[in-house]
Amino acid sequence: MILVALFGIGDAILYVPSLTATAAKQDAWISALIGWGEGFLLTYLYVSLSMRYPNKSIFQYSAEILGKWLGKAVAVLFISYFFIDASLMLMEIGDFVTTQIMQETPIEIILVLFLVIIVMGVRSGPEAFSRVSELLFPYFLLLFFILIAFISPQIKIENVKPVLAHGLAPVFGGNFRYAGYLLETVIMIVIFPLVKRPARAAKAYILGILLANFFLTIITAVAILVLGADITVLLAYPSYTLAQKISIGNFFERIEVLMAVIWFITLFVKITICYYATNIGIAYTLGLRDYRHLTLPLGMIMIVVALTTMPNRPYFDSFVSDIWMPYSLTYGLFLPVLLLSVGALRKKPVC
Amino acid sequence: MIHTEKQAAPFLYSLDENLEKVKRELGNSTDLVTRQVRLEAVDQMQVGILYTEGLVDKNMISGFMESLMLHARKEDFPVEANPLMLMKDFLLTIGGVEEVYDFDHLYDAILTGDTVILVDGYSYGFIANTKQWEDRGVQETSVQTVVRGSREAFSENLRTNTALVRRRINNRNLWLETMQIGDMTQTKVAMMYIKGVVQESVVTEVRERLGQITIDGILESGNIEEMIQDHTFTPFPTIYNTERPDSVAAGLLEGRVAILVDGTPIVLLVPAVFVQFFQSSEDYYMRADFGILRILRLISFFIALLAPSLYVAVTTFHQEMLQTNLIMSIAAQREGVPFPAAIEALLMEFTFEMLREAGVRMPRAVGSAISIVGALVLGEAAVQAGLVSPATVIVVSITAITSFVFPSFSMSIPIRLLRFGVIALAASFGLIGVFVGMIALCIHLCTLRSFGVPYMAPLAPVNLADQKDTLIRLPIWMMHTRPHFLRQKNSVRERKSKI
Repeated sequence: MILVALFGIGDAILYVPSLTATAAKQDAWISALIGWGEGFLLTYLYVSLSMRYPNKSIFQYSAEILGKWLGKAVAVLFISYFFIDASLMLMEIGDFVTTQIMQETPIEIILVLFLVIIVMGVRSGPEAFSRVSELLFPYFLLLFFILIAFISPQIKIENVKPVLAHGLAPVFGGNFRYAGYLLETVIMIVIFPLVKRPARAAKAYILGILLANFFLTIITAVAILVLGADITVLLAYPSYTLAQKISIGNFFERIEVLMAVIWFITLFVKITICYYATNIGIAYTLGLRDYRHLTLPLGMIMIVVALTTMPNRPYFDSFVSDIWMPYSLTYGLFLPVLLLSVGALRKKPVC
Repeated sequence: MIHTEKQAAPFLYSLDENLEKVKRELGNSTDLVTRQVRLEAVDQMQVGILYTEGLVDKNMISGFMESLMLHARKEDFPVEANPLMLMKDFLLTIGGVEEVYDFDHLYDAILTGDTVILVDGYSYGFIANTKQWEDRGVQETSVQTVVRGSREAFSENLRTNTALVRRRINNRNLWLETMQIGDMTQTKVAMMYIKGVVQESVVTEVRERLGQITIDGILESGNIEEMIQDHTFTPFPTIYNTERPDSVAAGLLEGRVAILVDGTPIVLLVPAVFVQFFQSSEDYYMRADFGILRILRLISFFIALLAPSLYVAVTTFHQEMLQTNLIMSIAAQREGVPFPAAIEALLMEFTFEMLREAGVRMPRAVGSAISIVGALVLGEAAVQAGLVSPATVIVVSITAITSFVFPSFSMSIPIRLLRFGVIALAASFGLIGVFVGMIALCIHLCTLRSFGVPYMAPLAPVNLADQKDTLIRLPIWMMHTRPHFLRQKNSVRERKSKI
């Protein structure tokens, strides 16, 4: 559950406020609220897909449902999605660190540094990195609530008024972008068969997504309440700016690094899972016995992919706001629905 | 237990030849005592007595020699009966007497402090248990001291140590297994556990790992620890060690296995988990609010690990994080210092570690010298010389204090090691480096296991019921179950009272 929650929060915690606010303005928090329902429905879809084929990975049952070649093709598509997602997030880290924290450090060094721990995490296996996430979760909680508590004096309720000034359309527009992040949780489907008791895993999956939604809604709402819709839209990292605004008794100032730590924790978990999914996907498709041989060479490729796909920041912004959502929709909604329906048509339900 | 390649050699019939052979094969060692006496009562029978001086209870030997020579009467030994059996039954008023048939057993016996009695004309003899030697006795704890609680510490004698544990747990389910490890030293190693509480697979695992040790000598439980631990290449100890009998008893009650080694006061407890090294037996004797101190210890862990590197990272890369006044004063202090912050911190940490090492190894007579010189290099004089800034001295001192907070010394070693690594990361990558280092540390800790138990349990994987006794300790009456991560058979610690 914690793994899913941290995954769901992932990189979204820095970007979501700005993305949703772009369309929904001061009603972005309503967009995030709608996300709860969407999150639940999507997870329900993934869970019901996984539950039909317990103890089998998505790569295995896609071949089972669609036949060998078509199934492999779908598996490769999924793998490419996971891989691109992982490199995108790696680039996000590099971009964030070099623009906000350490301007003089070359981005490659930051990428390599993070890649080292990601590869280390993936090599140590899913059991170990899910424990890491359990270990880190209390710190995440602590930091998050410190952030919210310290920023709360600056909340101005006028910032969310007028509510629904432009009707519901922009709210759904904002929600459209928000859902792009929810759709990424399809990656968790790879982790699902590793859990011994599917029923508990299903519960954890759904609860984790709801928890992630909870945190995202709070951070979106607080960002708008404190910064106002207009500024939130302009900023690249509104949550980070939020933390910069904290000032308690002229002493607790500039603790935005807390926010950075929150973000690093969630992002680390997310990239590790994506990367793990890529690795076992490739290992399965090629019929390798151990995915660990892949981690290092793939990691090197990932750095290059990260550097070439995202030449600069504006490119990234337009990619995320225009392309990412439809792209995710393919994998997050279309393919799982396809698998589920074809699977249901081809043979009678197992249970 | 055979230390020669030969087949076990049986005794000869002639006593003289037997004694000669023993003397020859032990190289005429001067602490070997051989005596021959003639028994009036049993037809002038020749009896030989062998023992090693210093390992035996002389009163006991003179006692049974007296009974052999003076109290034995002719009518006790009818001609038709086997005189040796009668000797064993009537005369040897000693607890453990057994028969011996070959030289190998004879050597084992006399070299561990038993006395061997051989008789002329017979190819077997007796081993009499007469072990007794000088030891330190039970003394006060010197490493893991407490304000409240038992002050007894283990000693070097295995028997005394097992007795100390048994005195605390008077239960027939407290089982003890002994084996001899070390081809040369034949060191006695004992496993203790409570049947019905401990998880069987752990006992089997310990037994197997101990059985696989083939080494010439075991001198301390540390030798055993290195041979049976799960991971060698980790700075973290995956086996708990203690000198306190009450800690061992508490561990046994939780379902752990204790490994006692003859010749050392340090007893091993497995499986061990990370948080265990932050717990003192005193936490359970003081009132429950005292248990909050564990959080203090955990904070100290982070300070000891991170303080110098955070200082380095903030002063070199992230000056904007500090308040303006503070950064001004630190910058002013550092004005005359020729080194970058990282070098300064490394220098001071290094000096401190050397001082600490010197303090431990130094003869007591010259002890005061090091404290005087130490105060100079780590204090005012170093600052005045313009080598380091006062802020660095303070940071290093805080680190020093916090690294002494842990109740278990073995946990301070990984911190001392890792601290330098984190400083290096901080010096090259700032806070990002520190963060990456910490995540790597987390991953590493989460991959560790100790005898099948995840090292970070019960934090990761989380068990809510076990949190009662992890970072805090709830009142004893609220802790109904033993720690679940040990997966005992019988996890109920406390029956629900009906008050």
